Amino acid sequence: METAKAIDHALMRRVQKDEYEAFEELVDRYKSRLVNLIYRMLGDQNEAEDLVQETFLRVWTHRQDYDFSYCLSTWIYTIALNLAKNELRKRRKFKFFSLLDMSEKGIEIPDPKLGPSALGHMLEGAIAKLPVTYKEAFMLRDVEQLPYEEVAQILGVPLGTVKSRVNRARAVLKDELKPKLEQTRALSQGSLVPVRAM
Amino acid sequence: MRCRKARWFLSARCDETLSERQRLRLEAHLVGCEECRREAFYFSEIAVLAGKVETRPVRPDFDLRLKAAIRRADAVAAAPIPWSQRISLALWRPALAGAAVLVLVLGSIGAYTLMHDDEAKYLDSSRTAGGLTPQYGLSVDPNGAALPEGSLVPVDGFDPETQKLRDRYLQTGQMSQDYVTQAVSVNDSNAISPAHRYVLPTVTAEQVAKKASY
Repeated sequence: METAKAIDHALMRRVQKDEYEAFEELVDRYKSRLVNLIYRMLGDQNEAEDLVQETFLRVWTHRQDYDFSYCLSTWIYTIALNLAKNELRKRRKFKFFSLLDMSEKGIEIPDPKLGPSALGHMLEGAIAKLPVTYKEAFMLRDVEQLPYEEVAQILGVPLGTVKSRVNRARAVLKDELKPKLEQTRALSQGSLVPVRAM
Repeated sequence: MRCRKARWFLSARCDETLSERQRLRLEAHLVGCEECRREAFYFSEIAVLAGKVETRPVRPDFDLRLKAAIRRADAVAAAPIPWSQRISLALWRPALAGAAVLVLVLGSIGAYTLMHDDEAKYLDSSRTAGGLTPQYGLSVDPNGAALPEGSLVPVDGFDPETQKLRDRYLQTGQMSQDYVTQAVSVNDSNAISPAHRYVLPTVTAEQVAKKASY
């Protein structure tokens, strides 16, 4: 069975021979993941898509510079995250706020009373509130499920730092969602049955 | 295992990166500790939820927009540079190189002129301050007579004849090595820098004779 890395490298070899179909395949493999990641960083869907488009444009333009000793995913994620960080830096510099993003970090935080399915949405809201360094480490490791070593390469920090950031991010999220998680736990153990007042 | 250490291992437990020994110790602790078991549940729940984070839908025209952007980029890269731009590039680079050389040459000339201006100012100030005609180089009395105050005598860096003259003054006691040091430091403190000259103090024939008798 071909690994994801082998598939990526085979596609990239074809891309280097200017095969646009191979590039399209590559785009299909990564676009959703990248939009997801950048959206969590910026909190703006349109901006996230624009940056992902810019990422692929750079991949195409610099296709001959790709070093096959690295994972393609590392290269692509690094480009995308750098663009996102530049955007965040620009926002800080110009104190830019979109009128559409008046809710916290542009991501709607659902009401905790919405039911068990709302827990996932609550987690998304809590992720949006994380500091950027924790957020990027958590997203790459726990959401994108990349190995720690690759996350360290993408972020350009030591392995221990990545582990520490992921650990802290999990701890912050755990504290943030504690009441809801406790409710889930009680329900799963059958020790607490919600009673609706008549 | 204590609770503090157990909590530290909970995140690694989610990643399944604990060693067998660590895992066994942690599990043994969790059996007996309700609070840590609760924390372990939270951590594992966060990990499960993170894996289910909703993927953002990408707009359907994303591929088309990307293709258009790539076409534009390729067109820009492939387009020949217009002749007007080529000429300006051809002129701009040599002009910049020429300007750099000019700046270097003018800078060197300026620095050289400034240095020599300092020297000239120093000599002028000696003339006016002492009211005496400065004597330096070979114009100093070659017979080794006592020199008036304000006379300028080379110390180092002059031609061999001048050096000899300086040595003769030192030998005859018209000046001592102390004067040399003192004079050089005076010149340095004035930041005028001709360290190869110094000002003689008043040295009379009597003083020379007295010094010679020691």
